[in-house]
Amino acid sequence: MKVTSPQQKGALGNNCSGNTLLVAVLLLAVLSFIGATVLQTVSSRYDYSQKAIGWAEALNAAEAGVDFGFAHCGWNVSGQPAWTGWKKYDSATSNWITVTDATDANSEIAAGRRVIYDLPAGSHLLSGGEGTTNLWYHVEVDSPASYLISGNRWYRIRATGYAGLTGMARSNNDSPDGARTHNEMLRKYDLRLDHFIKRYGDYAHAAGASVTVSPQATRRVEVTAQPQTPFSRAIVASAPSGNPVSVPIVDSYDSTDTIHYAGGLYNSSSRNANTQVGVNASVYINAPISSFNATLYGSLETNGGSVAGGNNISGTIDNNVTLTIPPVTAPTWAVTASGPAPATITAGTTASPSHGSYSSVNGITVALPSGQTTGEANIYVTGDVTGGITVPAGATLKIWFEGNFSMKARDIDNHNNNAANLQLYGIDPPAGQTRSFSIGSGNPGYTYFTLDAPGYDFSVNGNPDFVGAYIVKTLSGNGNTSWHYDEALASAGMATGYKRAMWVEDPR
Amino acid sequence: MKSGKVRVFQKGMTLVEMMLSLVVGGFLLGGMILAFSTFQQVFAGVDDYYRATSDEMRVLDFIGQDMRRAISGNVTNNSNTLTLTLPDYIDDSQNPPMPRTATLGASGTVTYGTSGLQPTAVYTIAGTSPNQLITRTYTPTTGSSTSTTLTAGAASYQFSCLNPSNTGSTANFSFGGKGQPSSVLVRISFQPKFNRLNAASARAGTTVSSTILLRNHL
Repeated sequence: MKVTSPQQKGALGNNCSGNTLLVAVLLLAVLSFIGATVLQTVSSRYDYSQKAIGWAEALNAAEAGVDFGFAHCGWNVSGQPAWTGWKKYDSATSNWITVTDATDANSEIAAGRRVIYDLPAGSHLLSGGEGTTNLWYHVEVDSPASYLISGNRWYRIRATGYAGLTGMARSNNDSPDGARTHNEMLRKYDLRLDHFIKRYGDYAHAAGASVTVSPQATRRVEVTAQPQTPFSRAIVASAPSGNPVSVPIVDSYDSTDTIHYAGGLYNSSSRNANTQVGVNASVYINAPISSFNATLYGSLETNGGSVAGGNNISGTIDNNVTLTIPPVTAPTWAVTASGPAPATITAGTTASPSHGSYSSVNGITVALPSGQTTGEANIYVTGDVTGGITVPAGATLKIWFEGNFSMKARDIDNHNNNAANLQLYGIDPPAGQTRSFSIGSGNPGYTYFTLDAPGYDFSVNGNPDFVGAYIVKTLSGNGNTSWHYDEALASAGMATGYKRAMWVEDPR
Repeated sequence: MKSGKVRVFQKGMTLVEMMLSLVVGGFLLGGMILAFSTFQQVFAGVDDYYRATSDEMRVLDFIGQDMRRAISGNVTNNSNTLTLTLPDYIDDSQNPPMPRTATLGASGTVTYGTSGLQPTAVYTIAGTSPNQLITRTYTPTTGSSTSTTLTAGAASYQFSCLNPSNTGSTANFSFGGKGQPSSVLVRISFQPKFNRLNAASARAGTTVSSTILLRNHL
């Protein structure tokens, strides 16, 4: 008699094994559930963080694109090769083709069209870390008709920065309350479609086009590039000795602000530090001066000076500014002087100014071209400028001179009452030589002109009110002279470079 | 056969064995429940910590985006309220809304939309600790304001905007104009909810900050 059958034993054994297996499976299921939950949560969180970093890095790419566009705008005026590799739209073939040279690109821009640049695949910006390893940009530069001011072109630079996003085409929701619309959300990723093209279109697609992309973060920045002219400051003294300015007042006004300045004419009653009206006259002294003997409604910059704050300076004081003052050279169109300038010269049109080269000037009057209300004359003088200057309303006169300049303030008769209409350029003298710019006594009231003569010693007698902007080597006066900087001159004169006037990101 | 079956039943557990196994099993089960509960609490705490951290980053990114493009701004209420004046870049009257072309002034001013009429964004903390949220109220040039909660959940947040050259001061200040700061230091922190880290010093470890350069500073 068997105590137990193998079948019974087996049955008992199987029951025990089944329970153990069941418990093990249940435990595994629970652990797997926990693990999956953790992994799913962590994965989701990681995805969110990783793509958020990529979004932040896309701004770096966009700003790199802006820098690239900015550099080309600057090269355009500094004589370096500009716009190499940029493209323009060819309406004949409906394609974007590479511009032939800077002239070609500038013609496009002058016509109100844009030029574009795509960073080549082989030149992408490489990055390490959590966010992305691949950054690139697309830049567009144009200049609408209203961006041409006083003959100087402003530029609109639109750069789109891209950051390639690794991982799956998904991201955690960036709307904490789940109630936000697209426009209200912060980080907009292009997981499947380029959202900027979808919204605005681009150079190759109409608005609403669905352009499929690999996951990427995209950010767009627009920067307005403003031309820098010599006249962005009220007074610049390139090599002064002692305290270079000893005058009652240096202040500012804006000839284009007819709300505060009726007729665009200077007055002191509109000056208000709280509203920043009339207090933007910057003075740069390229010397380590210790004091500044003037009431300055604006900011003072010195090169290594020790001027302390006081009631006489309304703005900031910076004693550590090293400013590169561009030399003044003969204009490119200058030819051998034919003789002294005639008493009257006829201006060309604003679009096609007249040019003349003379050995000297002893009194000169500009006449407008026949049938025109505006005009511009440019003259180059190898010798002295004396006598007087008369500029009728609507005319602009620019004089480049190599000799000395001497006349009474009352003989500078600028009927436009605007300094931009009489621009004087004193060409740098040869090494070891000096030149003078002398304004004699008289009772002229306001005298309107700009002066870019960093190699000239400027001396004043009498008590004229100078309205304009002045770049000189030294400056001396008798203490009764007032200087009124026209803020609109920041756009007048020959552009020497560009600065950022506005930066804005498109949040769409 | 019959006696064999009886022997099988005799192989069963005794009462003592049953009680022992129940006690041991109970301890094991209790331990497991405790472990799961603790694990869940830790997980929730970590998740909450992560959420608050990512909220901080989102708020900082939001402020960064607005502040970089701001024309001007000011900090009030002991540095807890930030008001930014933004360029009116997008023309919402168009369908679809499009970027505007700026109006340029010869003296260097660049204006989108109407001069003197620009949108604003105000950042502030709403509620009392520990149930605080950080909000952004955007007021366009036309139409009503929109208030958006930037944080996913409530926490004991601290939010401050400081003058980088005077970080010890919580006095009100403006920026963007001449002679005013050209950048702003933004700090955000929260109090972690871990019991052991409830000390005030625990907040220091959660602080994120960013010094944001005002691109449109004069």
